[in-house]
Amino acid sequence: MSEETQRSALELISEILLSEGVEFIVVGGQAEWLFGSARPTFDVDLCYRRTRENLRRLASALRKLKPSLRNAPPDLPFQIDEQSLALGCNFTFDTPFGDLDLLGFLEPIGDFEAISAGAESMDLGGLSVKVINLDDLIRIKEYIRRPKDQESLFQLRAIKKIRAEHSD
Amino acid sequence: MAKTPNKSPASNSPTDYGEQDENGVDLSLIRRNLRLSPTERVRRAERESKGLLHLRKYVRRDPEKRS
Repeated sequence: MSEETQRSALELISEILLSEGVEFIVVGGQAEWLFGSARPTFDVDLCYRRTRENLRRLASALRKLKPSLRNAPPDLPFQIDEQSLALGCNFTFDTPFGDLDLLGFLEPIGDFEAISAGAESMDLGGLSVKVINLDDLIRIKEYIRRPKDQESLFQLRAIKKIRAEHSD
Repeated sequence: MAKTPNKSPASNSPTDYGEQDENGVDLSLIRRNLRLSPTERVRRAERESKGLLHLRKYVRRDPEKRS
């Protein structure tokens, strides 16, 4: 029996998105955690599909999440609808569950369709979520190369080696 | 996978302990996480990250206001 009973921000956000039928893939630090990384991270990064229908569903889910644009003046108007989401690509939000980054495109791989090709499904507290492929996540970290990505890379490469040990 | 021996009196390096790879990644933490389900990994990591955030905020506070 696990001691971990408190539902995570990723579970709570995923539940709301899935209830509206939003197509998304877990990327970034939360994907690292799902693969077993021990690196601390403080936000939820999701890649979302930019079809008209998915933007409509995403807008509907975001209205339930009640987010605000991170670091924007409180009086800055931001209407959450399909049209606003279509005008942008990558969004950073504060939500009651924590920071949420919605990404429409991840260099050097591409959009939802490109990342979805290799994504794997994982059970997350009874929800079925798509997670970026480990090799794709490593490629992104190798491409971005910020100091924190270097630390991520070390963790992810170690995970890959341990996985290989177990598949031998 | 490179393994470093446990620190002994003969060791000269202050980081020469535990099971680390060539980059200094503590493999025992990853092996521990891989024994958990993905749900448990995320819940545990989030709890630990929140604890770290709390500690950072505490350390940055005026020492006289810490309690």
